[in-house]
Amino acid sequence: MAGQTESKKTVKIYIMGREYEVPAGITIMKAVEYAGYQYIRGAGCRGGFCGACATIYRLKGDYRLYTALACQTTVQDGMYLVQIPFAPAEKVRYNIEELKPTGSTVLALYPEIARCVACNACTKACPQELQVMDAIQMIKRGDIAKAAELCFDCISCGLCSIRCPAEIVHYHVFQLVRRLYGKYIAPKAKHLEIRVKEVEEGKFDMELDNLVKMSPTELKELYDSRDIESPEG
Amino acid sequence: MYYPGCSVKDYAKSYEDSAIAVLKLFDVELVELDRWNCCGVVYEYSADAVMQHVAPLRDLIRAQEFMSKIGDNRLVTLCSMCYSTLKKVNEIVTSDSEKLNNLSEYMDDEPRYNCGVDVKHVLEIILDDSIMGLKRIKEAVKRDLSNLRIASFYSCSLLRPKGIGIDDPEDPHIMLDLISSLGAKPIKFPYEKRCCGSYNVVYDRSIVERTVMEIVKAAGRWGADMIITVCPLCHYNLNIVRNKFNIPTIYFTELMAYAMGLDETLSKETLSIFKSKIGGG
Amino acid sequence: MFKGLPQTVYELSGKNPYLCIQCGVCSGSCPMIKDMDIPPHQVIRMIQLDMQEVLNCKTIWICASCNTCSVRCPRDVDPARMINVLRILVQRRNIYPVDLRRVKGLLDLPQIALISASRKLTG
Repeated sequence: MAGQTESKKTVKIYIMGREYEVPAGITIMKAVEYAGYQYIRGAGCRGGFCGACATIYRLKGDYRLYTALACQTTVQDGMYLVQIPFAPAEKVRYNIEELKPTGSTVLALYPEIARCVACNACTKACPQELQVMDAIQMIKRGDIAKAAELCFDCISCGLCSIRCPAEIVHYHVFQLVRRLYGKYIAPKAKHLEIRVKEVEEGKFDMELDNLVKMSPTELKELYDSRDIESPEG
Repeated sequence: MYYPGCSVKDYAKSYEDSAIAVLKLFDVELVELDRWNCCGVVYEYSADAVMQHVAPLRDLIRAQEFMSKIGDNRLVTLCSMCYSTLKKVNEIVTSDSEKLNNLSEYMDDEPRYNCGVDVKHVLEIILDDSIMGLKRIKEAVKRDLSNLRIASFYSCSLLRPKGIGIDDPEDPHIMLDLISSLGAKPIKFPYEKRCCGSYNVVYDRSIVERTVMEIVKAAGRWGADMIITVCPLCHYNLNIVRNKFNIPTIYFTELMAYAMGLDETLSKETLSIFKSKIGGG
Repeated sequence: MFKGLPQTVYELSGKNPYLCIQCGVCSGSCPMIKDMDIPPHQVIRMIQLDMQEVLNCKTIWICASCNTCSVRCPRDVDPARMINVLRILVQRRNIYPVDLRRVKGLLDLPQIALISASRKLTG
């Protein structure tokens, strides 16, 4: 069977310089574990969302430095790889209540943005395929809304930041941008405001107090008898 | 095609608003590039500098892609520093194919640049008789500005270096001609082509403070009510001492918009400057 | 063609430092000279003499690249360009005069100031 021979195939990879033979078609993360390593850091959701498993690699006969998420990328023959457990960066402290949603705000907190030379290394490095450089450019010209939109899917893996010649820490910058957008620019959800007010006024306090007082048996009973929407609707 | 530049989109928004409104009056439309990045403000002289040329070249490539859409190869800027940078890098890659090859190899995510973009400063468009010209500008003036004495401040990047500058670097006159055509009194003063201190405002603000003090003071001595400029950085630096001498610096397009009665495009602040200088409206 | 600093500057600037006749027009024209430790024409002289100390002077960071000297230089030596090359040589040793995070009044500065300063003063 073609499928069976396929699954028996192996590839040679090099983890931090040491050669290993691992099954073809598995992810980098699984291959690293297959080779005998145990993850203490540098792994998280294993689903491509948490950004913990930033990986850099080169391929045989290719000068390029590639970037990937270990949990989302399958191994290739002749892969030289290492995982980057953390992109070192300082998160500047600020009080969001005191900020204005302008480009100058972001530039004042992260002035290294001004050093961007539009080399596009960040965009090339992004495993989420975001237009990272364009997002930085939007900040430079003061368009916070557009910047927030462009970096919405950032998972803070930090691969852009380790490639940036201007030494920008994109993931912290983008978090600030999205916070500014959320607080000052995005249209407010009316129902949310009403609900928050209700919570603050204590509308649900009694219900919550009751839950806290319940014994585990009572809680289980309540859980089992809860309303469940049938899949048919 | 129009390349705004970062400052024009934020700090110098009044420059853009007034320029677009004035040009519209003459049926000239600035079509903004659908995608662009910061040009870097300054260009690098060193022969082996490559990285610093990536940003402006990327913009030229954006313009190259865009020009077929609108059928015009002229790339117009307002900010004189953007003008200077884009123009210089355009010149470098056009005359030095080895440099262009190096850059293209690095920028493998972009199509190759064919050197077909023509970088222009908006003043070149405004002064071009076949597009606008001083005669038509004169005819479009709606306000009497004859009591207004205006000094022009050229900005380094509009005059220098040779081949990039659009006027005589030692004896420039285009801004004075423009002021005359708008019906105001042009003030020629010795510091009109001097450097404002530029980015030294970041290095050591006191250097720029001393420099602009001399400039604005001189403008006052020669009788100027206000100064017009083409550069957002000159605008910022000169205005550091505006209150000391009561001589504000505005963009030349704001003066044009005011002369032509386009008040709705001007900020309250700019309008109040004019009001305080000539009284009434 | 030359040796040492004159050769490096010649290669990177495309201008011949030995053409300078020390006329002083550059220094006489320089709007920033009051804040410089060495006047521009002496900077060129130090290049001619292969004096590496020129790389430590304040002048190369004070120059605002206004190009006044360059348009006036009767020998087309282009001092602004040479000073820029000296600046790059220092930056390539990982030495920068400005730390952006330490600049006061950042919030007030327009983009154009920060970006140009980044390019010229932070490498």
